[in-house]
Amino acid sequence: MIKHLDDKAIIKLFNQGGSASNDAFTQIVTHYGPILYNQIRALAKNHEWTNDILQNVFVKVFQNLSTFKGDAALYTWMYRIARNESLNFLEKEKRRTGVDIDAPLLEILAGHDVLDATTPELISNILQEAIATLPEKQAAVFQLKYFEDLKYKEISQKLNTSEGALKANFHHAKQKIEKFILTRLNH
Amino acid sequence: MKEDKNIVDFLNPQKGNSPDASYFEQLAKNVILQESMAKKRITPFYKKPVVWLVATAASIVFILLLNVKSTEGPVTLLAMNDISTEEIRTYIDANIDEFDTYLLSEFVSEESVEESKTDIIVESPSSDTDPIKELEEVDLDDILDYLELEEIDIEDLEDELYI
Repeated sequence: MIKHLDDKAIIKLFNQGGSASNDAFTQIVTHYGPILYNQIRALAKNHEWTNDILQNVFVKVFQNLSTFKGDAALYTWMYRIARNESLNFLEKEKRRTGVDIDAPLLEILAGHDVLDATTPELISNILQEAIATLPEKQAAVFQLKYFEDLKYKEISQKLNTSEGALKANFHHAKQKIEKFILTRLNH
Repeated sequence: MKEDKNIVDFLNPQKGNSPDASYFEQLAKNVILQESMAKKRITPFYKKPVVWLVATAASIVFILLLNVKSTEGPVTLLAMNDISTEEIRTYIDANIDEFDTYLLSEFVSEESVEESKTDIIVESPSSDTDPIKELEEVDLDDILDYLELEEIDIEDLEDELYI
């Protein structure tokens, strides 16, 4: 198995052009692809949409990686592209009907009165909308912590942010999502 | 029961069926192929900027030439209009011997001659000159020379004039 290079080494390899560029890009897709897939899947309704969005995201990454200056972490940069692509895509598809929704993202646990009267499909949709309203950084932290169950240390390395800041981001994100869900469920 | 925990804590995220590694490898190949094809794609002739630049320049030159051509006519007409009819008549009178009647008539259509009110210049004797007096001033020999030159018999002339 090929050892994964760090961001700077990948970008340097990509900028060499030719087959080196292709190798670097393949590393990016295989390394960051699964996590970006899940991030997009949390916003999109099914695999088909997620697949389309992810392809668009990596096309943009390929086209613009040479201009990436490295001010932010590579993942943060790609997450921004993925989020924008997802929201734009969903905006275009908003009026479409008859979309097949894959299995819900969530399972409802017992113990909360408000959730007793709802379904996993409905709460999944509301959660997707809630994530879309969050500021970019909070959305990224929430998705990595909540759906990917990553440790703060891992997220810190991915986003190049301190663990304390990440905890604060996650807390604020949860508060906003709860408020959004309760409002949507008329509570 | 009112919960102290956040509502999100009562939602258990399901591990979705994430695609396997081969899906992402194929995705990378697709994007690389797509981008290399896009680079090789030949730009259509009409999409090349240089074609548009040349076409625009040619259009501008064409329009400018049209403008120059169209402004020449009125300027000439204006100059002709500046000359008064009197001046033209004076010029023709002074240079009438140099005019070729046939050439002039070529450019004057029949219709325009009929429609136009052409002033016919008639030579009328000046009121302050007396023809008898002028004739008296002519030498008799000159008159006889003229008659001889014109082959006019003096006797015939006397008959006609009942002299």
